[in-house]
Amino acid sequence: MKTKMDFPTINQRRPDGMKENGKPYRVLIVDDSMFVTKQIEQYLTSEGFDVAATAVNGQDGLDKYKELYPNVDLVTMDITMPVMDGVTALEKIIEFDKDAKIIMISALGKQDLVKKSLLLGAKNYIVKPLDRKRVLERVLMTLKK
Amino acid sequence: MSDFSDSEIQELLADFFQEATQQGESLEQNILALENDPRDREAVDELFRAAHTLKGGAATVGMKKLADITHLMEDVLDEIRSARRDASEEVIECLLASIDLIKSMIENGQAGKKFDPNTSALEKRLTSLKGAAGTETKKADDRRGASQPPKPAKAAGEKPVLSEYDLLELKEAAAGSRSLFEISIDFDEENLMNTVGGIQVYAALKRAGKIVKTVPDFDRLYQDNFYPVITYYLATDEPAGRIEDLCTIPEVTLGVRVTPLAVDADGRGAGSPDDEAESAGEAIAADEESDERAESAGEGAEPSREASGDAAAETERTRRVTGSVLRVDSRRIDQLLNLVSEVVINKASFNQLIGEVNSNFTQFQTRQDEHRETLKELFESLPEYVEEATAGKSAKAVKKDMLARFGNLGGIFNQYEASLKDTMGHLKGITQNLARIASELQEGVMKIRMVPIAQIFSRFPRLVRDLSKSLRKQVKLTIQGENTELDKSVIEDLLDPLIHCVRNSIDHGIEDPATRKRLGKEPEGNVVLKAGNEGNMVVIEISDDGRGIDVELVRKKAVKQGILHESKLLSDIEAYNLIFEPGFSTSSVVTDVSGRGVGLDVVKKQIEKLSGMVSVWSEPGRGAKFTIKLPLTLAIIQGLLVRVGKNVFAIPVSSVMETLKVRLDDIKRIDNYEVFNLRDDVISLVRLHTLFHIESAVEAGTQYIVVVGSKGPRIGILVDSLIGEEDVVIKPLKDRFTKSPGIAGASILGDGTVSLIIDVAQLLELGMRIGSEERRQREKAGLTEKGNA
Repeated sequence: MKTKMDFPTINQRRPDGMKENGKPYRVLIVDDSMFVTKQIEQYLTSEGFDVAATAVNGQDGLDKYKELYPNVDLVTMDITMPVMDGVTALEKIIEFDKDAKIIMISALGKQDLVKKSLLLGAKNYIVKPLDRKRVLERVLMTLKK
Repeated sequence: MSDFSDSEIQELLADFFQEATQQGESLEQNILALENDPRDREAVDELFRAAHTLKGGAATVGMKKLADITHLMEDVLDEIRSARRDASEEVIECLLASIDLIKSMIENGQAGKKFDPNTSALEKRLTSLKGAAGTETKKADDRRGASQPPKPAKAAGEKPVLSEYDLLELKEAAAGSRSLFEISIDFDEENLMNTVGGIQVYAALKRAGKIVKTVPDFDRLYQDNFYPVITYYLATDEPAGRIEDLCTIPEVTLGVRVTPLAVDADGRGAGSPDDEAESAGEAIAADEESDERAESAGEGAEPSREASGDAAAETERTRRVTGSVLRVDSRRIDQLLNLVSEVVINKASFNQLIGEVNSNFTQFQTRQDEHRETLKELFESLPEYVEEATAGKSAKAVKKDMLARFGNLGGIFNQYEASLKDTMGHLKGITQNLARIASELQEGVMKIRMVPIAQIFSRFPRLVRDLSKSLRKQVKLTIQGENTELDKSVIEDLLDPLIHCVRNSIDHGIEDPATRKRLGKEPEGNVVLKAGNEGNMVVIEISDDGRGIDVELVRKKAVKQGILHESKLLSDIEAYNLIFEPGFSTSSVVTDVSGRGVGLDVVKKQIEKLSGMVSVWSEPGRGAKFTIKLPLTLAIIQGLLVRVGKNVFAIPVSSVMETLKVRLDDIKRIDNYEVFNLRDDVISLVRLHTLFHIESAVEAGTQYIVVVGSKGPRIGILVDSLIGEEDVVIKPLKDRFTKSPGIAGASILGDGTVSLIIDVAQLLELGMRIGSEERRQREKAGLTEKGNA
């Protein structure tokens, strides 16, 4: 009955993508670039995160967030996207769930939009080009705070 | 301006409005000071302080528009204070316009009226001022940024120096939170988006509490500039450790220093000293803070001292609308309290006196009994003595016997008489004492109502400024004797007449600069507003050095308007005073300011309503002077009580010149006038009973005449008898239907009867009008007669 307790856990590091209860964090990736989406997905799944869904624009992201809610822990949100940009989507998601944890993915030179997002409720931002260490670091920081 | 009905906050509101009115006034005065000397630092500080307090108060009572306007004003003032902006004419005009709006908001709010002005235009004006300064600053920043690249190493230790006001504002904003932290953060310039960090920390901190201030300010953080050090002021309930955690962002922040600031004096919000590093920081902060204090002492101490001086000078500053609230110097209350304690002692003396009277009475009873006994004995023993006498005892012997036995009869009451005399003496003393206390109390209570005339004089600098600007004249206003005290009710009604006079002086008196130069005068005209005491009167003078009054013009105009008969000869002074006649205006040009037909007669009426007098003196080409004389107080006057029929009237002693006894045949008739001779003068007579349609008790024999008037015209009032002088308390006749001309009010006399108080000024006017009316009718009749003939 108490099988779980019987396993020694000492040398087994819990992957960063898992919560304390052993379940993975669920992430929604919103980006119009397939390449970036894949990149983030790869970084995250390697650490045990669960990419719950991906969306190709702001509107899509908003719909997917509502669909997943409350089974979604984090959103990565590109800023420049067709149909609905990331800042607007951010605003709408925060409107829907004020505790939503959203990380903005920005290209260099979009300082003003990043600032705006942060004030609107984005929890953090990552500047492209992305690298594994930074993405994971920011994601974890955002989840833990 | 919503929740005004809540009775619980009424008191708060009253306090707020009273304070707000003061602040409004202070704003106005200091802006004028600033206009005169744009570098007047004290004025700017005072302005800033007043605007700040007003803003806080307005927000508390929910007057949002007021708070918004004052906030914008505060911003502009802040720029002036920090020398980022000059107090240019445009700025002053805009600030004055704001103050006008603020004042009317306060006044309307105070009166409980709904007042919803459109503030957007003004707000725009203020914002545009601010905006202009903002871009300037930005440019300056840019320049600085270009010439000296930021040096994080040096900047790491930099910390903004907070002024007293900033600190005050921070603390106010932090009220309600547990602690106020000063968080200084060093940012990593190497970061790809190094300009985002400031906002990122801002956003993070915002979630932990309320950011009351940042240095540099938020707008600049939002622009694309990099600042190596940014300081945030956060009001929060979170502990310092958690705050530090929130602010530490890898690759963004290099160092975080969290310093608690005391929220308020009672230490309610002093930071949690659970952290050792923390308390070290606190110690440093405390040091720095005290340094700042020392630094700001120079500018801080001065205005606050001035403020307290102001408070003393304006022991009372209630406005017209507040009405019911009176601020009184506590010393005056102490004096009253002292007098009241004397009354209590006096009462004890009376109690003692009652004891004395009682013992007197017992003594009297004992003596009376003794007296009665002795008398009884005397009567009973009389037959005995008669017997003895008939038995042959000599009368002398009998008398001797009787004297031996009853001789003390006459002296029985001697002792009693002595002690009664004592008691009488005591009674006299105590009563005298009481009379003294009562009159001192009366005076003391009166004094409570006395307020310095500065209260209304303070409005004139602005008025004169605006007026001279609109008339394109240069006028210098000098105010003297503003500490002269007057009864509150008088002060309130004095403002309009004074404004009228000052307007008149500037509009009609002072010439434009060009004319003045041509006449060899200084281009700047002078208007002097002066108050002072003269005996029981307060004298207010409004003088100017303008063109004066043209006597001939006045005379011509008066004749033309039918105020004056052509043949009548007038002294200059009499002619000057014609300008107080209704409908009189010598100005051929009707200006916006005065001369619209509503003339100085209004002034005269108002002043007379206050039992005062107004006169004018002028020297053509050199100026004119209005003199207003007012009694110190209105509520109690000395009245001469006279009887007419069954009625008692009181005539203010101040206007009684003399009284005389006449026989009815001393009264003569000239035309239709009743007149009598007073030494060399002939004085016309008014019969009170005919004037007020009362039956006179005395129709024949002697009657009395009270001669009333002041320097000007005199008139005799015929009454049945004189009663005497008494202090009478004037009660206004409230009912306007019973208000009749010639009556100033009513009073209840010592014996409970009601007496009407004669309004001498009106009576004089009434008497003269009746006279001129009759004359006019007579002249008309004469003309028609001539025409018929």
